Amino acid sequence: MDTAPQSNSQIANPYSSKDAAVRAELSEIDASIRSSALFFTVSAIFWLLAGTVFALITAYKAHEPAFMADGAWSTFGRMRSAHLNAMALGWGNNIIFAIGLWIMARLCRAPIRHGGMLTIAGIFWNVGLTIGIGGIIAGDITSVEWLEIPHYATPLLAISYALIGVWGIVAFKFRKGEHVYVSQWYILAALFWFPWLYVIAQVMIIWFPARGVVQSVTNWWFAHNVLGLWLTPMALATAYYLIPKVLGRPIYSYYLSVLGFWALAIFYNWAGVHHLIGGPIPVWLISAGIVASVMMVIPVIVVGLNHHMSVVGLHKEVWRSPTLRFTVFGAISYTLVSLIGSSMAVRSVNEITHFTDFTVGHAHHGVYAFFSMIMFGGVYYMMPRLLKREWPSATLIKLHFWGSAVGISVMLFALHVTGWIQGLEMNNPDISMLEVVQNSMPWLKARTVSGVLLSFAHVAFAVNFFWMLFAAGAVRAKQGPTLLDSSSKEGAA
Amino acid sequence: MSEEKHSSGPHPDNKASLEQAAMQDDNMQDVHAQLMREKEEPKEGFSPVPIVLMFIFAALCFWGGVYLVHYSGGFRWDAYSPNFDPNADKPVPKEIPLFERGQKVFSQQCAVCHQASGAGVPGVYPPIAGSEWVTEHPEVLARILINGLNGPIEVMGNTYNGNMPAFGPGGLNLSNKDLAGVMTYIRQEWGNAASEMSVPMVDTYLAAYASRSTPWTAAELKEGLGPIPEPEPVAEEATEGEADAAQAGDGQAEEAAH
Ligand code: HEC
Ligand code: HEM
Repeated sequence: MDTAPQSNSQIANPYSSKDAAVRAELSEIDASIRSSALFFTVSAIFWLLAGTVFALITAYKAHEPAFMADGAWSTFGRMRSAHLNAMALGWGNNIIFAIGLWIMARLCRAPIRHGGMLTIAGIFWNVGLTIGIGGIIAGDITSVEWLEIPHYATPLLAISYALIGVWGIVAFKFRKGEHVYVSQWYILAALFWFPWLYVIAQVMIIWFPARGVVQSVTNWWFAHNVLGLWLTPMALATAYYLIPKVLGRPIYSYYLSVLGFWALAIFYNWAGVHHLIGGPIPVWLISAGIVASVMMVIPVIVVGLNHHMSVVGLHKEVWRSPTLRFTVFGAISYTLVSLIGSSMAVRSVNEITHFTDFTVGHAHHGVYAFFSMIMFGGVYYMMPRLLKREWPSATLIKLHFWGSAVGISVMLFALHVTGWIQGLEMNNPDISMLEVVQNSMPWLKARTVSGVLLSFAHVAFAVNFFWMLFAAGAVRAKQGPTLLDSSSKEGAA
Repeated sequence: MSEEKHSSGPHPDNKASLEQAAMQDDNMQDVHAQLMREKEEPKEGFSPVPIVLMFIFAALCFWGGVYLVHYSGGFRWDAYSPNFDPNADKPVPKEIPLFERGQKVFSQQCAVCHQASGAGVPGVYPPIAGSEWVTEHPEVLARILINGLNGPIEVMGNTYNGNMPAFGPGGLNLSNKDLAGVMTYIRQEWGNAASEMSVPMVDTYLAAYASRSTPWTAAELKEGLGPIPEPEPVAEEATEGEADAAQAGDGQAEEAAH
């Protein structure tokens, strides 16, 4: 740790009174949010496993359509949408509620009041989601991508979201201290963005459908912004919190943080229409979407640079800490996926990638390699603090990391390559659709293999998690954090 | 752990309870171990934004502006192709009538001398309103405007002797439309009631006189004139209007008859 240029009061004197007071405060905050954060994390992990099962079925059916083809409930369309919603709203939102609110409360130095209510709201969210995904499988699926959940479940989701989101906003209201850290901006903004997106999309598409192309514009405005104005800011906030926490080094530049945040806030909202390039939409709207998509290069470079400069020179520590190994993998993926995304928005590239598996590959690049990896890192950091226990097994963490890292890399490679080939072939009138599909087969099989790897990773993660949760006292904190490299015991988790 | 068992036995003595207290302290430390080893809450440094980034971002914004200008279909709701050219099917801007164009040209070019009222300045600038030079043969007027006028001239009974500048290509170089306009204007304003000067007519005169370098004299003006070109057919409207009026009259008449 001596490499870290900033002096760390804890090292100088772990019991200096000011520092001890801050730590006591953090301990109180952790205690105030413990039960609800645990509830959300457990739910998230259940949804992750459920989503993984749906994903494997979907991936397998893509090249073996006869598999599980006996019932309507298990058709590709329903399994795929069950997967999407279980992952995005089950795993994604629950883990955001756990980690996002925890980080918000800590940074605001404001304990969560009435944590029980938060847990109840969380139960509603998960009940609503279960009804929704049950509805999808039962055949009540809507025909709108990303909003497949039938109309009888969405009001419950919207209301319980509102109840959950309010906690973060209240914590911000009662914050202590002058400075508002960059993670707080992202979380606060996202807590407002998500309900705005969700309610507008529900109203204009499901409850009182707008007519004509306005509906599809709203659809993609929503779908894309869920990624960019909900998952992305939450994952960035988490990375911004974890990197300095583990390394004990400040974030490189406040100015870059400001620039990155505002550029995201300004440009992202416009970008969704790039999903409709070539569609019957007034062309200025699409061009504006393209320009905004390319402009996203600005916040991406800025955030990437800020993270990189904060980590640079401490690669050993990053590799040793379970938290940072995942988080930094996610942060690097953010830069990559965003730059690829910006180029996919350019008309000449989009002509090839649109309507192909390239898009699916890109979606997983974002939600898995970036968002989910950072959230895994967040869980590895948060749980020891909430439970006052250490992770039972470094081996399982390594299995999780390698399963995820290799699995997602295989999936991304397969889907990007086959997507590109599909695009070129579909633009060639001499090649029949059947040939295009046949040529994709080996790549789709590779995706199933990657799915198996990812499933192993998720199981390793879940086993380690529940072991830690239930085997009370199994690992004593005195022995130090669970690290991935035993050469040195001292250091961060 | 065995120690703990001892101390929680059925007959705890003083020593055992002390030990337990120590144990609890130990527990307390365990409990907070994660927190105690945790690094400070995050902070931000204040390194400046690298200047190259600013150039890159400026370039991006510039590109964005250019892209929008090129591919926005004029921001129309009914333009769907990126290659839509908003100017392609725009109706050609309506030509301003010659008379109105002439009015502008007159107030900019001629009114200084001949006055906005066309009455001229007695003894210096001859009047335009009512002048036979203006309303008679169009070629005469075209000659004056294209090449200018010099020497004594009698206008409406008064003689003037000054210099009228040339407005053709050898002089102030007005366009053919401006020339046609101003001539039409002065032939039809202030009670003048001559035919209009069309652009083709002006073109013909320009072709004939543009190369002449000296101004005309009053005497020369009347020599070697071509035939007066056919006036343009009179606009229909007038007759239609008359017909309407006639009909309205009929109606009234009928009403009166009832
Ligand atoms: C610099 C002052 C000046 C300007 C500007 C000028 N004129 Fe003249 N114009 C004169 C003078 C002086 C004469 C008399 C020339 C002579 O004595 O031979 C004249 C004569 C004329 C005549 C013939 C005599 C008459 O009154 O009928 C016409 C027609 C005429 N000008 C039209 C125009 C028109 C049309 C313009 C604008 C495009 C114009 N002038 C601009 C000074 C001017
Ligand atoms: C367990 C590993 C995973 C596998 C094997 C997998 C597989 C799949 C498959 C087969 C599809 C359908 C693609 C198609 O329509 O052809 C899909 C779609 C999708 N998945 Fe996953 N997935 C996994 C993990 C995740 C995770 C963790 C998330 C989110 C946090 C996620 C988010 C999505 C999204 C958003 C789509 C829709 C993509 C689009 O329409 O472009 N997936 N996934």
